[in-house]
Formats: sequence, structure tokens, C-alpha cells
Amino acid sequence: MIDLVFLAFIAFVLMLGLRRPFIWVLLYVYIDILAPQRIGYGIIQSFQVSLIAFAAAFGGWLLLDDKRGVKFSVRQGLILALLIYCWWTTGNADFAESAVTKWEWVWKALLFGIFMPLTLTTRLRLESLAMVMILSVGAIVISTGMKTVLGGGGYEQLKFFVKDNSGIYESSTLATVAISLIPLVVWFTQHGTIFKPDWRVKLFAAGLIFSSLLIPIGTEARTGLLCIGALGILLLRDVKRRMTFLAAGALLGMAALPFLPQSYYDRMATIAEPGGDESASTRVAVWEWTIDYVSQNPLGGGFDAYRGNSFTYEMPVKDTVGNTTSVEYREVVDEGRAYHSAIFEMLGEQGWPGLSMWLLLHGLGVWHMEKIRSRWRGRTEEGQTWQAPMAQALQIASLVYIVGALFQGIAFQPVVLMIVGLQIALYNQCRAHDSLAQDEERGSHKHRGPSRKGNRQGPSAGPIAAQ
Amino acid sequence: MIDYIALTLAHGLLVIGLFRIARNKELDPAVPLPQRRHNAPKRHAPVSNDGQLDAQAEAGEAP
Repeated sequence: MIDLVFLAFIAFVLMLGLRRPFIWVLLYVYIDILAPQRIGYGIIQSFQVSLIAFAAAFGGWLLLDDKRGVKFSVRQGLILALLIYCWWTTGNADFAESAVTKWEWVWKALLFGIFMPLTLTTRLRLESLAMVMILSVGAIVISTGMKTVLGGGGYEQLKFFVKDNSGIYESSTLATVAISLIPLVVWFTQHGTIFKPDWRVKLFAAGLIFSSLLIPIGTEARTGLLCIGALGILLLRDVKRRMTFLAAGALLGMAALPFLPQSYYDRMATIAEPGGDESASTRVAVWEWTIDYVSQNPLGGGFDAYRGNSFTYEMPVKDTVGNTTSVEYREVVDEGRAYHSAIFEMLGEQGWPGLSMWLLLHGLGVWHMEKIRSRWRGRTEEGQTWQAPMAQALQIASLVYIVGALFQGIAFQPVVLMIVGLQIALYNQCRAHDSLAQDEERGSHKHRGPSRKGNRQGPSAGPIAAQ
Repeated sequence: MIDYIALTLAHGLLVIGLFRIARNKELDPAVPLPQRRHNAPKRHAPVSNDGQLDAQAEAGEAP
């Protein structure tokens, strides 16, 4: 039954796309995030819905869409370079078979990261894509939040729509993505045009944010807690009443403490004491192994090169008998442990060149969003007030992701590449607007002489302002 | 049951949102990015709200 509902929805969106081909891009985003073909268990699995949506999105753009104003940016070039480099390392991988398996989804995510900004040429398109991203992630987040409230949480206990612990359906990844999207949800409560920001939008946004914050609790994902901390610190930069914000945050945290299960405290305690947990202990060992590995293989070992690791370490094992707890250090031998960090994932798999490209890609994004924030912040003209808050939301999204990615191998997470795509498109739009403004100013100087120096309002001309 | 509630809510909003997006004429054809001057219509003064400044500037009058 659920398969038919998903297929009906996909058919509906395909039909809508006949009028507006851009909607097929949104369909691909929806399928790529939510993966309805993996949620269903019947007829939907016999359709290549992802392939159909990508073909429709790319074909629709190529054949039917307006391509004026399309620009290929430096960051798209970086993604392309990374794609080519990953292809090369896959061909020379230490573990060819598993490298090809990862390559099969990575190249699609990277290719869509290059393609997506080409289609996002207006505000409506940017907003549409952000909306579909939020609602697709939101479906998973709402379900997880409700289960947590109703007591279905616990480490590796919470059941998602898809139970294979991969992609966004991995607890730490979901926590990172959900928390990084919170600022974008807030943006919709102030600047949304598809859904006018009335009380209903604000109520839904509040529920979604609450659910997002519940994910690290429900899944006991330690990385999620770190992401919430990072989000709180980053938000301090822009809140008007910092002390009130800090006090409210502390109060909320204190109020939540009595409702948290003991297992949550136990698991969170291992953040400060990584030696007490196997998952945390192995991270440090894997990272050390990666540094050694890359010193001998500076160009990386291709996807899944971690499969070659093997190390021995000592882990404390607590044994409680009655009132006495004894701690015994046992030697543990581990093999083929994953990187547990996007930095080390890139370093081990793609070597120094790949890590440099990846860091540059995200670093440039943060810097570009900072430029938009500072340049557009003071603008008050109609149609020019949404850009700075969106840049701020996308910048925080990137930074929260980077914090989360320090402890998870999510370097090629498709949702994050979509955030990168949104950043590229917003930066292109703002640059094009400013470029037009400068051209017009030069034109007006010729006729009227210099008179508008220091004006931060900018001209009201141009479609970006009119939207 | 919870999964169905969450999926229904998200898909309901997606249907409404996509329908609104599809009805927006801006996507057909898409409004392009602001074009650079050599592509854009020639202007001699900043655009005002009602175009009056443009007309005055064109006519050589002081605004």
C-alpha cells in the first residue's frame, strides 16, 4: 500500500514537472534524501525511481529550461576536480571491489552537487529546493522525534523508515543533518514565500526544531550533542540578547535532564572519557593509523582503504559485583575499522590532494556566506532583506556539519552537497545582482556625476530585488 | 503508526508546496539572473518605484 502512495506522489510530481521542468530537480532531491524506494518493500523497488528523477531533472534542464544567467563557479570546478580525482583513486584503490561500491553513489552525489546550482537561478528556486530538503529530512525527523517522546529511544534501538543504518538513516548522520538545517527552518519562519510565515508555519517550524533537538537524545548520538553545542555557540553571534539566550538554553537543558534515561548519561560521559568505549577508543587508533598510512601513500588508497587497518589497544572493562566495581584493562585487536571522521576519511581515501579540495570546498563556502552576510546585512529595500539571513543559515549549516563530520565519515553526504549547492547558487545570485548594481551605478555616474558613494541600499533594479 | 503520521504530514506539505511552486509563473520561463549591462536593457538612471525618475532623466529634467 505504501508503495502505491509513494508511486502516486512521484507520478504527481512528474506530472507537475511537465509544466515546470525545474520541479523534476526537486523530485530528485526528495528521492535522494528520503529514499522511498528503500522504505517500500514491494512494487516500488522494481522501479529505478532515482534514475528516472535524475534523467528527468537533467533532461528537463538541458532541453526545456531557461539557461540565461547560468554560471559555472569556482566551487563547482572544485567538485568536478574532486569527482575526477575520486574516479582516478577508485581505479587505483587498495580494495577495488568495495571502492567501486562506494564510487557508485559518490559520483552521483558529486555530479548532482555540480548540476544543482545551474538550475537555481532565482530566489523561488532556492527556496523551493530548501523547502523540499527540509520536508524530506523533516519526515524522518518528525517520526524520530515522536518515537523519542513516546519512549522508543535508545542507542541503536530507534527504528527509522529504513533500517540498514546507512546514509541519512544512520543516527549520528541524521542528528548532524537535522541540527545543521535548523537555521534554514528558522529562515522560513521569517522570509518564506511559498508558505507565508504565519502562525501555522511558525508552529510547524517549532515542532520540527524540537524534533531535531530530540534526535541526539532519542538515538543517543554523541555527535548530535556536539552539533547542538556548536549551533548554540554559532547562534550567539547574531542573537540580540545573548545573556537571555544563554540563560534560556541552560534552563531548557536543566529542565530536560530529569527526563533523560541513565543510558543517555552513560553514553554521553564517553565524550570526555573516550577510553571507556570501544567506538570512541578505536577512533583515535584509526586516526593514528590513517596518518601513518598517508605518510606512505600521500595520494590516498581509494574508497574504503580503511579495510587494511589492524591495531591492538587496551580498553577498560568494568566488572561490578555487588557494591564493588573493578576495572580491568583488556587488549583488543581490531581490524577494518571505519574512519569515524570525514577529515581522516578524505585523507586516507583521497590523500592530501582530496583532503585539500574538500577543505577548500567547505572553507570557501563559509567565506562566501560571510561575504554575503556582511554586504547584504544592512539592506532594507524590498527583495533585499532575505539574502543575508539565508547566507547566515547556510554558513551555520556548513559549520555544524563540519563539527559533526569531525567524528563521522560523512565527507560525501548528499544532503551536505545540496547545502553546498544552495550556497553556490545564492553566492552567484548575489554577485550577479551586485555586478548589475555596479554597472548601473557606473552608467548613472556618467549622466549624473558621483552622488551615491557609501549607499548600501543598492539599486532596486533586477529580478532578484523584484522577487 | 508514527511513521505513517510523519510521512503523511511531510507529504501533505510537499504536495501543497510543490503545487504552489508549479503555479508560480516565474518558473515558466524562469526569470533569469540579473544580466550584465551588455545584455540588460539600457538604463540611464536608477529605477524608481514608479519609473518616474527614469522618465525625468530620459527627458533631461531634474528629478
